[in-house]
Amino acid sequence: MLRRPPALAVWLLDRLGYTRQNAALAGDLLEEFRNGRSAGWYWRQTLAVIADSFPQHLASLAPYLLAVSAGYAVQFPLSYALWSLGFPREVTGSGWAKAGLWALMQAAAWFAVAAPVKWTLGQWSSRVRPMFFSAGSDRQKRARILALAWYESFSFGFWCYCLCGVVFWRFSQAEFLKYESTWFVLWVFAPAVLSALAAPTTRASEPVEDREPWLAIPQREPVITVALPDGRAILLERDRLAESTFAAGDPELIRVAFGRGKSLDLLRRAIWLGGYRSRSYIQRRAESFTLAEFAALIDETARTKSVIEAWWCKTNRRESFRLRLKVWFCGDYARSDGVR
Amino acid sequence: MARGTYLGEFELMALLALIRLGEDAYGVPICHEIEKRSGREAALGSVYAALERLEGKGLVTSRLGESTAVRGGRAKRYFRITPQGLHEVRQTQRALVNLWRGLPELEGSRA
Repeated sequence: MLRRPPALAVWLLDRLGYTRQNAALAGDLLEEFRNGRSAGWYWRQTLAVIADSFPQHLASLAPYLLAVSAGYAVQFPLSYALWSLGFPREVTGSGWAKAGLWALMQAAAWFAVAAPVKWTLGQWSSRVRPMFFSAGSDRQKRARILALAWYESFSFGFWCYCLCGVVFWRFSQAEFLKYESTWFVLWVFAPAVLSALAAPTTRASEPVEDREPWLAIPQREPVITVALPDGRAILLERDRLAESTFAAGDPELIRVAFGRGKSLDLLRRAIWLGGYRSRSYIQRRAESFTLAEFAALIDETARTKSVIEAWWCKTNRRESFRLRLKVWFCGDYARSDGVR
Repeated sequence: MARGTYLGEFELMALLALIRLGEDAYGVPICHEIEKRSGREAALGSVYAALERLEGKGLVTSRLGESTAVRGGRAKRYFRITPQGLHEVRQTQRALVNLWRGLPELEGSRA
């Protein structure tokens, strides 16, 4: 039985360290830990990695935060000027009428942000934030996304000011400043920082393998460990699946992988999905798969349209909620990058 | 040595460890080598940060190696010094020796 490092340290390393860009470092730490290093050593190393990688995170975050802050810097004086003029005026009416107006304005706000995204980037989405971090090294795309981030920050803040002014109450200057700054910290700045810490960035120096889009999903590994009936454990890699399966020389494994009329592409998707699940602390799967589990994984992948769909499946309601929260913060990079 | 490419202390140690280890240099042995020779604990994160900087300067190259179960399926990243890296180490050695030479305070002691 292989030793497991402290779960919290692993989680922190994956969240705040740069191990998603550098899986080798996470592997080295695990190797040392399993060769007899203490949990305290693992913690010390984790904290050192986080301290080293924090400036890198901030550097990758800077253009996005600048764009968001610039949008807010334009929105704030405009809202303040309107507030000084007493505009917009509060709408009088019943609670139901206000609720209806609120819903209508929310839908309009979503459209006002999503429509330019569709026009610029070709997809209906109001979530500019994750797109910036999945744009990779495409400078033109990043520039367009930064412009959208500016616009999103401006229009969302401005819309919310109008919404509150129309539906709720006429607030004082102190309240205006309080709500504006709270809005900025809670809905603009904090989510931007959180998503940036969770988001991977690819660099030109990274090997091609690490630039595969599905690797951008948190805690992903396109590798699974399969426990064979004779007690051996073999690693199946997405790119070297056939090679490693036949090298293992186990007829049962060969039958499961290649004797059931499944395409190689499907098998690779199954490995991606299994690799993700086996290392997911949310789904809490075992570290290795039995042959029966591997076969079930392939069948499950075959039944679903995409690995992302399968990724969502098979989680109970509570786990699914946590997973959705996590993806909401981190972004569903794979979907936007067209992983199937 | 070109302007702005001076090696830091830890970068120099990492490069010397790479030269000693040859082909089998990845994070863990590099860290062990630095600890063994310097007598100080080295953080793996710092080793990787230094090696990435050196890779950015073209003094080191890396390739992904094999995955093992003990590493949780993660591939090793093997590092190798480039001819330019070797040249930089020699230049640094020369500069340090020149600085060392003729200092009365350090006379009689070996580096």
